[in-house]
Order: sequence, then structure tokens, then C-alpha cells
Amino acid sequence: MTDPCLLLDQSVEVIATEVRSGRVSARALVLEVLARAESRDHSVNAITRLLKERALHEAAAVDATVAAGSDPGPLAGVPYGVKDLFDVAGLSTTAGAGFRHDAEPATRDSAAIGRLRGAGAVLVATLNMDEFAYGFATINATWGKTRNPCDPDRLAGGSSGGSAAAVAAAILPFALGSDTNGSIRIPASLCGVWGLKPTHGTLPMEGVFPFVDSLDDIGPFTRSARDLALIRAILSGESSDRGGSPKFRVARLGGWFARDVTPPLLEAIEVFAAAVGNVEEVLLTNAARARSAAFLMTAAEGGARHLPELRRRALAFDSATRDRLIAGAAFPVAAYHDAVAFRERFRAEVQRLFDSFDVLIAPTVPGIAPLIDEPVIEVGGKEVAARSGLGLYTQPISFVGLPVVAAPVAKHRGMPLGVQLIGASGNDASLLAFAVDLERRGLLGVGVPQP
Amino acid sequence: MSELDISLSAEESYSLPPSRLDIAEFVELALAMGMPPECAAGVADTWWGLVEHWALLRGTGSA
Repeated sequence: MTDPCLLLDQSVEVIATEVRSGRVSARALVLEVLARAESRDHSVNAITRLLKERALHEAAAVDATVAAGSDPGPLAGVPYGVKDLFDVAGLSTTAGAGFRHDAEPATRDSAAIGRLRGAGAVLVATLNMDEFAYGFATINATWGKTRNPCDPDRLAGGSSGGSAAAVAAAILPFALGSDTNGSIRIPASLCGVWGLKPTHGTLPMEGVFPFVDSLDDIGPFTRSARDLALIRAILSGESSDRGGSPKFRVARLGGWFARDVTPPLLEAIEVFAAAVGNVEEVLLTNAARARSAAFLMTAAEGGARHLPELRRRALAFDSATRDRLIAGAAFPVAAYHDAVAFRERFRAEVQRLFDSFDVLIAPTVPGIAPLIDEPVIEVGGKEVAARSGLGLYTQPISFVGLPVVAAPVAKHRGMPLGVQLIGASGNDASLLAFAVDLERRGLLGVGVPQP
Repeated sequence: MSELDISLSAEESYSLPPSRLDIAEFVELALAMGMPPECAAGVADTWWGLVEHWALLRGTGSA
């Protein structure tokens, strides 16, 4: 039999292979995750709820399928967690808001959880986040701060910080999060794991607590690019064909995306680009405008969505969330119209780049994770709050719905540094094939053992 | 940076939910709920931050 403790550190693919072969049970893996949560989560605070009973029930179904000689699916027995905004049947969907702890329980699982269950995965936990996904820090007034597993004095990033931290701490082999302005890419980068923000609207949002409909997407966190591709394929309903060794035309975003980058990350990107080869620098001249438009769109749609609840019980909100939502709801609607109009023009500017290139490289955040006690970053020579400022390089990209793989590129003083690999709209599968190829060549990744 | 025409054309659509808050209503709401002064300060900070973003978007501000 395979040792579930050793197995849990392997890739999702390897874990599922062992379960499908009967060499380890799904139940043993759930018990190992529960033990790890007990021993590791106190220093990370990634988990909001452990779903022991449900997980053991799902694991028993997987084990019974294997025992009957059938195949539970490509994620057989693989334990995972979800950001606390996915509907889980029988539980209140808190979306990170303390006052929603007693909200009417979901009557069914979100569509994404349903697809993962259909592939044999086992849901074990819900994971911490910024309230209503409005932040880049995972500093939650009710469930506390999620700490970076690489250094507990530093931020895990957000708003899907619990998802990134649980995977980085090897409590879970993969997790789901959501990304509106960078909420998958930023914590993935700060915690040193892989994350995918898909082409807008391509992964199922049914049963996911919304924030900004124009920008919201869900996606996975993993410890390998291959796992990222596998889980995206399952969530999207596509085949997981990863192709061979594709040739890609690659460029590196300069200008806005080179401003404020810390020297260690700048150097890491230069080394990476040189290893990829033939990478020229290109500009998105309206990136700063796109970021501003994303802020305006987020404030307007988020404010409008939460206004009925703000009118009813504004003081129940986390103050950092409440103040921004109220300001967004009160802001002139003309600004929103301008943001919407600008988006089409910016989309055309971006598309022109993809006429010449297949993949764009950009930093995810300016450097390593900020300290929790000093949650600021330097932008334009001024200190700004990390909670709102870390989306410097992510917001212009998600503003036009592009697919992005967030990848670990290097470490500085033991802390991860990350890059964004940006693809053309709808090219998620080939973008992931590019990432898998770079991982195979040892240019990106966290060093998880590969099959 | 080139100036972009960001006016909304007739063909362009948007879908902001109709529910909006005006400042007078907010003041009334704040008073009724006994909101602390720091809340008003937080709202104002964000509001002015959005003004800066709007100016930048329209090409009259700087990043």
C-alpha cells in the first residue's frame, strides 16, 4: 500500500492514479488531510470549516467505486478545498462576511464542485478570504488573517488567500478560488503556487457568490502546471490534451509593467525571459487607464450589489469593505459608463499585441509578500495599502477578461516571486500547454515531484 | 499618452444594476445607524480615490 502522508505531497495526477489503482484509499487521504489541518493550519489560518463528515462520505463512494472495479474519474479521491464563496449543499455561503454565518444554507453544490465530484475529487474544507472578495490581503474581520506558509509574518495575499495558503502549506493538493481583479493570481504569486484565471466566463459561475459580474471568474490553485491544466479541463468540460512541445511567440510587457517592480523580481524576469529566448519588450500604453477603469467598474458593480444589505445593516460589514462599497454605490454612474466604453477600446489595443504574439509575460505583484504588520507596497515612490494596491499588474489584464497563468518564477530570501503568463482570449488550453512545457524544462514551478 | 475618445456611443451597452445611493441618502443612513466618524472618513477617502481614477481614465489625471 502507498503511504497517504507521502502521497499527499505528490501531484494531483499521481494521487488520483494511486487511488484508482487501489493502492491507497480515498478515506486514508481524507484522514491525512484532517491530520495536516490539525497540525499545520494553526500557523497559517487558511481553513474556515473542515467538512469531515461530508468528506468521509464522498471518499467512501470513491473507494466503493474502485472496489467494484469501476473508475471514479481523473481526480479519484483527491482532497481539495474551496474559497468560502462556493455554495456547498447544507452550508451557509459566507463569502467571508461574519454576518452571513447563519445565512440560509445552500440547497445544492455550486456547479464547479459538482464537476469536481463527478471526476472523483473529495471536498474537505472551505477556505478563508477577504470579505466579499474585496481585497488583496485576506485580512478578515471574523475569521482572521491568513498567513503566508513561507513566512507567517507576511501576507498570503487575497482575496483567495486561504486557497493559496492551504496548497502552499501542502494541507491540500489543490483548491478553488475566484479572481475579479487579481484574487487568484496575487495569492498564488505571494505563496509560491500555481494559479489560473481563465478567460472570462469560461468556467462555471453557478453557485458562486458574486462580486463584479463583469470581471468575476473562478479557477484552481495547484503545485504544478500539469495539475492546473488537468483541473481546468475538468471544470470546463474539455479534454485535458496538453499537446506536445508547442512553439510560442512570446513578448514581455514593459512600461507600466516594469515600473515599481523590485530589483530581485526584475532580475528573475530577465533571467526567465532569456531562458525562454527571443522575448522582445512590448507596451500596453493604456494599462494605467485600464487599471483605473477596473477600480471604477468594481466599485460601481460591487456597491450596487451590496447596497440593499448596506441599507439594512451597514455596521455589520467589515469597515474596510463597507466604506469602499458605500463609496462605490454613491459614485456618479457616468464613471461606470466611461469604464465600460473604455474597455472596448482597450480590448482592441490588447488584441493588436496578440496579432503578433501568443503569450505576454508580466510580473504578478511588485515583489515578495508584504509584512502583515506593515501591509504596504511602494507605488510611484509612495506607500499604498497592500489590500488595494497589490493589483497593479493584474487589474489591467483581467479588465479585458484574458486568461492568465500565475506561475512561481524564483525565490528571494526564501520568499516566492511570481509572473503572469497572459494568453489571448479563449486560448486557455494552449497557454497551459506553454506553462507545462516551461515547467518541464525547469524554468517555472515549485519543484513538486512530477509523474 | 494618446487621448482616447471614451464617450459612450449609442451601440455600447452596459448593465449596472439600477440600485444607487446618493450622498444625501448616505448621510441620512449614516446618522440613522450611528456610524462612527471614521466610517465617513473611510468613505470619503475611497470616494476621492475613485475621483482620481476617473480623472486618469479620462486622461486628465496621472498614474
